[in-house]
Amino acid sequence: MDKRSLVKYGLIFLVLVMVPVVRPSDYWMNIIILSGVYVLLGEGLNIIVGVNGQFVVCHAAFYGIGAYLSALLTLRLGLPFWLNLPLAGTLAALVGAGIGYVCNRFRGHYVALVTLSFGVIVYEVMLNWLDLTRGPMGLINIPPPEPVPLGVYTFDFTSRIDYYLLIVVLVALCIASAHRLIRSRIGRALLAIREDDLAAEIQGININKYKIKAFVLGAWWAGIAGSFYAHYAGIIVPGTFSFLTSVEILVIVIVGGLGSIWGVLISAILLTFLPEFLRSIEFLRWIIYGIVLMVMIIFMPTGIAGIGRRIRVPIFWRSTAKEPAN
Amino acid sequence: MTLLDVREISKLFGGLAAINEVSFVLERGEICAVIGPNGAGKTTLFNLITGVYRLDGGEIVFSGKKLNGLKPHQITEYGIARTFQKIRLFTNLTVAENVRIGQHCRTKAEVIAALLRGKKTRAEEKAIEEKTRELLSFVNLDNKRNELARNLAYGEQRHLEIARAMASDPALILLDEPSSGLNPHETDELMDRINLIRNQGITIILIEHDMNLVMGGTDHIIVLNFGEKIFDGPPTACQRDTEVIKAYLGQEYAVCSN
Amino acid sequence: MGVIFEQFIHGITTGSAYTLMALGFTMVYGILGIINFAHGELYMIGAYIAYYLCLKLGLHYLLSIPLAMAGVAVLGILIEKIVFRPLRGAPGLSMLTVSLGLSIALLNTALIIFSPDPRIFNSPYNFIFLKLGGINISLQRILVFAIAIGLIISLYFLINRTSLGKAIRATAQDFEVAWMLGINPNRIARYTFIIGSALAAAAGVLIIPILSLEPFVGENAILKAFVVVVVGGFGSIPGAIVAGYLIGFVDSLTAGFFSPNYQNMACFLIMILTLLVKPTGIFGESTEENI
Repeated sequence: MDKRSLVKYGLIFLVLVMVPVVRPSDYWMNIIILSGVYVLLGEGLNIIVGVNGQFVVCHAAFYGIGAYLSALLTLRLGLPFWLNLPLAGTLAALVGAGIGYVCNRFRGHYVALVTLSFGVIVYEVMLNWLDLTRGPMGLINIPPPEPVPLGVYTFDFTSRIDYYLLIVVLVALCIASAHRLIRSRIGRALLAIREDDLAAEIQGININKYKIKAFVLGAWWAGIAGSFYAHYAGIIVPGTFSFLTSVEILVIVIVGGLGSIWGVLISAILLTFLPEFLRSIEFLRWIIYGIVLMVMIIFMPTGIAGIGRRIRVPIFWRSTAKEPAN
Repeated sequence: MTLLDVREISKLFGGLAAINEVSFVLERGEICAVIGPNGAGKTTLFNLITGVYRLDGGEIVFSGKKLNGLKPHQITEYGIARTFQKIRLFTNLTVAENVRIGQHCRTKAEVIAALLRGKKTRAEEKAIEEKTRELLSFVNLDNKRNELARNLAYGEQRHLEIARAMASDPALILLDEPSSGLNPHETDELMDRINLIRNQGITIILIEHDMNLVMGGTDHIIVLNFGEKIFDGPPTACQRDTEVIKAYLGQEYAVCSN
Repeated sequence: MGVIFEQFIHGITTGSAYTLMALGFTMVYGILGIINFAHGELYMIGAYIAYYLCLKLGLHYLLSIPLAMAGVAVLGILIEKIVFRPLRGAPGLSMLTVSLGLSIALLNTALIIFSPDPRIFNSPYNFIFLKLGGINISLQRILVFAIAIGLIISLYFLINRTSLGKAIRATAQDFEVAWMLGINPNRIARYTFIIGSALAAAAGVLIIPILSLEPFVGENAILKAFVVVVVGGFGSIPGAIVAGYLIGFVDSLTAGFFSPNYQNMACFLIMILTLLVKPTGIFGESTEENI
């Protein structure tokens, strides 16, 4: 590993270790953990929208499917969280594959519309299928993950630190896999489809297969995030998985820079922390979101990743960040 | 040895025949040019061969295999590659990435392999790198390998497209107006490169308007007019063919002599 | 029998509103290539303007309609100039995203200014009834239909019988050629937004007295507008009209025979069905890619 990467990862490790040492209040631990959830959501959507160029606005639906499945499996069938976590990811991925298949024949804004309607339908099902989901009242008393004894220390999830460590592990896995994926043959195929899907097909890439793969990969992480969130928060309601949440995640990816792993990471953390400083009026935060979105598209379509490239900040930015397809 | 056998193919767009029962044969190792006035159906022909358009009649046989109904990526796997009239590079990716992507159908690593990045995968990536270097050197772009494709000069972009097409190890390359936008010096360079490609055993068919290139650099000419083949033979015979002259000029003028 | 007729009337009413919404939306798309997510907020703001004109200034309801349309048209001019003009030529998805941002900003500004509490916006015609076919129909419903038809006919004359309409049609066919022929694209963009915004506002002022008024009504309206435009065909005016009433009926019948909870699902199922069977919609043309 070269020196630049060493410094980069060293800094990150330092920051991560500082958190349990500093022992922030429960309030701030919650924000930190939530930002981890949004990193998972953002990186997942980044694969579909940023790397593969499909404008998907139903990511919250995959998130919700993972959350509800995991919660229901524990509440109704008594299954352990550690089983439900990968199952949630898998179900979300399968649903993603289905939607991906439907979206294969569409391009551009039609994909947005199909996924928009899918997202609305999933939300309405969550809201109206009272027997399964208890509708607007949601599912409550979702138990925390089962304890994991690891030598001296047992992770029993009674304190937020344990959740923090779990989300850090998940985020690390997510970033590492996204990193590997983008630099691989698969990643190149996905990027090619984003740039010019006809040229990609002529180059021998089975675009339908890979477009579905992008959905599967992105939705998987959304499902994982959902399962984690359900057992962390203990309560889930349909409102958490609405179209507005899908927009939130989309904003994270756009602000971070389509296709940039590090940009989305920073953006997810930033956009989770920033509203806390604007807690005064909930709605003001959204106005700023809206304005930020507009300003970004008009003036800075390359997002945070683009800033890095232009200013050439030495440590963090290596250009896999790409501008939105023109 | 016959490489491509096009038999009575047709393509209709809303009742209008863009290609009407066209047949021809390409021999292995030849350089063939498809010429004709604008709208004659040349790019449509390429689209039919590469599976972008579906055939409305006839069949195409490549190395003994029927191409009817196959999707473009399958046809590329069989060994046909192409470039486009208006350049279709992956503009926001680097020069090297474009060529790496070109090798997609000749490599294998899928998701699990990509994630684990074991020995076989790493060896494959290394092979991809070497081949990329080779191809970029061939088109003199190795020094620009990390440039974004859209930052290249127009002529360089054309050559990158050719390198990318060659990356899939084709037996047949279709070049759609490769000299369009090039100055005479660049066109000569292009002609040399096309010959070098042929020397590597790849058959080439190109759509062209530059008559110097066509008459001086090819072995076999096909002339299309209004979707029909009106000439099929060597360049020397083409210049004197009355049908061809009529198609281009509509009158009793000879094609310009070179 | 009476129930079906009642649903039919409801269908015509909501259909009229959906048609006006969809017309405005589809025009902006067809002529300028812009998918304006904030179109729903224009509808909502139109309703609020009329509400305050009636409530605070004591204006008669009928007078508030053109005034609200004018007010929102001005907003439309500003939006076109500040938000969309800088992006002219950008891919459609940039437009969609920026309009998403605009929608969020406008919605939440409305939430702050007007508070999220639903209000009742009563038009005097809510309380006058006509007995037709055995049931009581409020005059408001008839008014909605009548004014919608009036606006549709006016739109027809505007597009087909005026020089502005001709310029608009030329721009819709080929933006650049129209530009080269001397048609000022900024003028066309401005007028398109004026028309589109005014229609959205009209829809809002007309239908809100039958529903309730709160900042989120725009969200529902834009979602329905999407459905209508997909079913009718993006950019198609006849499509917006036919599909507008069609979706209006689907909406009412679902609410009447099943439950209002399923209205959104029913409409979106229709949209997905359309996308699977004929993606370009009833009146849409299929696009062949030029390679």
